[in-house]
Amino acid sequence: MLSIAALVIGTGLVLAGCTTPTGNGADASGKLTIWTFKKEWVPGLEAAGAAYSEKNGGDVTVDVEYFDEANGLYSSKVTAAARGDELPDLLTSYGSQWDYVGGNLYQQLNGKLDDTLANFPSALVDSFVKFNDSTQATCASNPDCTYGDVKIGDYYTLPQISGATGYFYANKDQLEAAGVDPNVAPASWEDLIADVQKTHDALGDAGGAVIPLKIPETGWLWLLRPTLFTQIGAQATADLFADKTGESWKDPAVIRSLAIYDDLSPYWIPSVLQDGIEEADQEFVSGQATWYYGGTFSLAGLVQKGMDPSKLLVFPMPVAAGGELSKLTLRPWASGSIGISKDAKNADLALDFLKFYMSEPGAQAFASKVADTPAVTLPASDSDQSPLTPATAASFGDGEDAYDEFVSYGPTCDAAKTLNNQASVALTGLVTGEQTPESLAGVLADLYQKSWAACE
Amino acid sequence: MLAPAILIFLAVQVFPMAFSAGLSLFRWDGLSDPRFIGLDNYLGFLADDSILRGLFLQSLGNNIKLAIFVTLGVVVISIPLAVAMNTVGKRTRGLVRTSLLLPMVTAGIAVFYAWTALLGSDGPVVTLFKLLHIDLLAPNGGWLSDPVLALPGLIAVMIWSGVPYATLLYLSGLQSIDGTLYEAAAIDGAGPWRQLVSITLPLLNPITLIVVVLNLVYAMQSYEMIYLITNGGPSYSTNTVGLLSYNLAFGTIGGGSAQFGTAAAVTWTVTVGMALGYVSARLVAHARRERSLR
Repeated sequence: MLSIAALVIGTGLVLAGCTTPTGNGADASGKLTIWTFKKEWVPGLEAAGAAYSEKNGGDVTVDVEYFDEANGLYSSKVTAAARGDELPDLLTSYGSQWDYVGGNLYQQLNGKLDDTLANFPSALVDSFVKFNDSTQATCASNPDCTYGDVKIGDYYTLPQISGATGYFYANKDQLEAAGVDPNVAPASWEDLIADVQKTHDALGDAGGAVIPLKIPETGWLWLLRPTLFTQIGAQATADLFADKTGESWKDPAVIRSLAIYDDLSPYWIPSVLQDGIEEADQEFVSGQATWYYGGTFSLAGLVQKGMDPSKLLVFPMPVAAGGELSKLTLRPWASGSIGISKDAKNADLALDFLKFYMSEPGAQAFASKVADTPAVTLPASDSDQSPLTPATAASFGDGEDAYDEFVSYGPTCDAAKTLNNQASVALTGLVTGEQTPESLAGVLADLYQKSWAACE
Repeated sequence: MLAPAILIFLAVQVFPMAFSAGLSLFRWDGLSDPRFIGLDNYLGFLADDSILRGLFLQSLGNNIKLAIFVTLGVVVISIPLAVAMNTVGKRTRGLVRTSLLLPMVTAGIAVFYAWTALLGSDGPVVTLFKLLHIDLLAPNGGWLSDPVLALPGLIAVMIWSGVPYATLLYLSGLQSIDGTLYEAAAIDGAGPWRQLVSITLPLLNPITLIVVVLNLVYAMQSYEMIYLITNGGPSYSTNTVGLLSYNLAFGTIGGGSAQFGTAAAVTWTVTVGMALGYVSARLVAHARRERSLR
């Protein structure tokens, strides 16, 4: 009897000694789970995980799971897991991180990663990492805001990428076949339209342009708003959306901006209204369009579908003559906020991984597999072959005349929640031929007037 | 013995309906705690938010058009098809039945993408109408990019999807009709058309009722096919209540914030409306029967 007890106790002690310690960052061993909604980031996260494990010489496994948000799957998954306390160690927020914070999905990071914040441009930290006055004001104006208790300066996540929307991608081979110089970006909007017309005449529909207009907001937010901004200027753009009568939409300068947008209507590929992001990427990569309009984030998707980056000419949206601004300056945003979830089983390990991931070696590992630009500041490299680099160098900036796509224009009350979508759909009338710039101005005037009235 | 079936019924039918009805009384973004707001979701889009109300009415109108034309199309095509199949030999009937089943067994997403290509700018439909010089039916962007033709295009897809099952139902109905009725009619001098109108169609009424109900439900619930093919566009011309509800629920239409409560309110408004319509129809039919008996 005693010998059996000794055997059991002894076995138990041996097994206890063999157990791998978890949750201890200094030992850097254990398993981390990460959820993301972006397929293109998975190899980058896995590479960062592998680099982290190698650095520590420990037995760290980083499991990355991807759920496509295009069909609402990621949101459903996060919602269900949050209710069942089954969130992963590290969670990427889809959309605003503050909605996730309001839902208490993240652990606060104040004081835990303060040194790491120095790895980011300070403007990004102030605008996109820490809770600031602007976010607080947005919350205060929305009776359904769930993060009203957050304090200025609090932070819960760190961004994985930075970038901006407002870039044309052109297929160099198809440019050359149409007799357009594949190495020189058009200097003006007029030059761009002339080049698009040339490729369209030479190659037919395949010489046209594509944008994922199945999601109508892409036309409205990605292309029309920066066009308005450069044509009528920052203050006039704000005034336009703030006009409660809506009559400013009928201003000649605004109609001219709509007409500039309409310049591309004859050259969108025929299926443009049925193309979501995946379809638009695929059509461009397979040569069914010569021009693609998107953002810095578009490159990762194109490369993932087989596009050779060296075959791309990338440039910021050129500006039409006669506008207030002579070039489009883009204030970069940060995205892909990732934080430690409330249900993290290895919170200490997750924190240590975040410190690594959001430092130069971790960001380099991510960037080695993903064509997106990490939010962490990386030193310039002679070996950087990305076609985005010269384009972003020419367009990123700050100041009054820098276009910030995250500025909220127009009424924001609950009754106006579908306004952006409605305006976006009305804009597609230029593509279908249902609207002219003049008639569209009338439609938008009516829409904004009704929205402001509903919000009174 | 019935307990497991009842439990399953409660779990997959009753509970989701009750949950959805309850959700329509709350403001919930899926992440934070739900907040009770009573009927505000209903009042919001029926009274306060004129823009969303307009979108809802346009979507409902599209659903009604789908319901009428898809149901009509399925019935009008399935009956003659079933009658034709019933007259051929058993071997031929088997072959035709197998080919009819193809739309039912083909993966939905493959079907949807195939139809997108068929109705696209370079697809056979547009090409045919171009050859026939019928420009109205040959828009440059294809049917699905044209605000006038996109809905008829979707109606064609839904009829194509609905015909096989309806034809099989009618075929089984035809095969259960007593053949002596046709013999007696033939003896009385009734020709094929007379037999069809006076014997076949009346005896198929129960099947027709099932087909009509199934297709009405299909048309009113339609969402995934429309999401895949047109996402409600162009210009909301193919938007339906189901798709509107989906887009509201997952924030694609509501400024990025999920609005499960409003989405539930939208669907329950239509459900209650349809229930009231059904009850009214039954009451009217009952009143008519009472009058005819007197």
